[in-house]
Amino acid sequence: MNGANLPGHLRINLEASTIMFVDDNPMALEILNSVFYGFGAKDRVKCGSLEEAKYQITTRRVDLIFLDTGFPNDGWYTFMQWLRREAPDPACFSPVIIVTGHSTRAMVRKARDAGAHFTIAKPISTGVLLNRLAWIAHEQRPFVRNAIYSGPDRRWKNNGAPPGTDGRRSGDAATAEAGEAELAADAKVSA
Amino acid sequence: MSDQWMQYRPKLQIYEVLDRPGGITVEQALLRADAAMEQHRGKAVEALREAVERLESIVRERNLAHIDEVYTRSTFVLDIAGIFQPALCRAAQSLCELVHRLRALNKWDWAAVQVHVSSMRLLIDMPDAPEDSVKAVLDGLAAVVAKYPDLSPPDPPRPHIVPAT
Repeated sequence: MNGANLPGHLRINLEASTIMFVDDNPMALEILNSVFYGFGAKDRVKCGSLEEAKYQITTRRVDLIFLDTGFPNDGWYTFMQWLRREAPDPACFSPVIIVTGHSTRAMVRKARDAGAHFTIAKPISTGVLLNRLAWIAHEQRPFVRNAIYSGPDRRWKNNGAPPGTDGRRSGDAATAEAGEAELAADAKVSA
Repeated sequence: MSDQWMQYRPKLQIYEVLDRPGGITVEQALLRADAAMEQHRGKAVEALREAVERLESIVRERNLAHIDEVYTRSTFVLDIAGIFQPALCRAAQSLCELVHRLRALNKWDWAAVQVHVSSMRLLIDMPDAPEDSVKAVLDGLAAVVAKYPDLSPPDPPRPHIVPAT
């Protein structure tokens, strides 16, 4: 294994993928761009502002977005709301990896609720970046949407329905008992 | 939009990167990425030094008007140092957390900030310091931060939505 915790012989082909980086720190933007140059991504879009990112998303295909949370006034969150709710199809489904500097619990929760696939806290490494990319490609999480949430399905690990409920999806009732048993076992392990 | 959950399974281009012929191996990708990043090291370290110098100057002045700048500068170090000097990045992260907690408590502690900035100076001047020494420095910083409670609210319960019939 290596820094990416992936088999070293696994092949990855980003030649036809467009990767977008959104960060108001020009040096951080350049560094991330270089990492993906190394990963073989030929089409890389660097955006120093959220307005530029919106423009790019509405005028070209973007396959993966790295979004920094350092923008003033939680601009990244407003951007996520726009992307998931208003951006054209298929851009609204684009996987997003949130990159945070100082990440509070509230920030991580907010990123999840905004419809991000992952939140990566700095210090980041090339291994972690490649691992998350491979994870997104492998898992292919479905998207869900309703009045209060739009983004990748957060219940990607099937623990069944939430404890104490019958769930709200077809098939939840059947898995509720098993899910509760699994959660109880997890709780025992962590205790 | 209604309360009903709609599920979509879009066929995204990024899902194919592990199956598409050609490309490079994970080993090659990591080596190439590390090499590509190295070209930024000189500029990055220079910018980090400037930021630490400014933090030192703020700590010397002890002017409360610069509290916000302490957070901004340490965030900058955190942003850039990660790939080149992870230990420095963690020290900056600790300083951000300290400022975050102090602000929430409506308090300020120059001594706690100073010990962070001195540690950052040590780590930037000794990028190859032994791992156990670095760990001791970072553990010390964590102990300083732990003196102040984290007032972040706990996770709220997940919303429960009844599907529309």
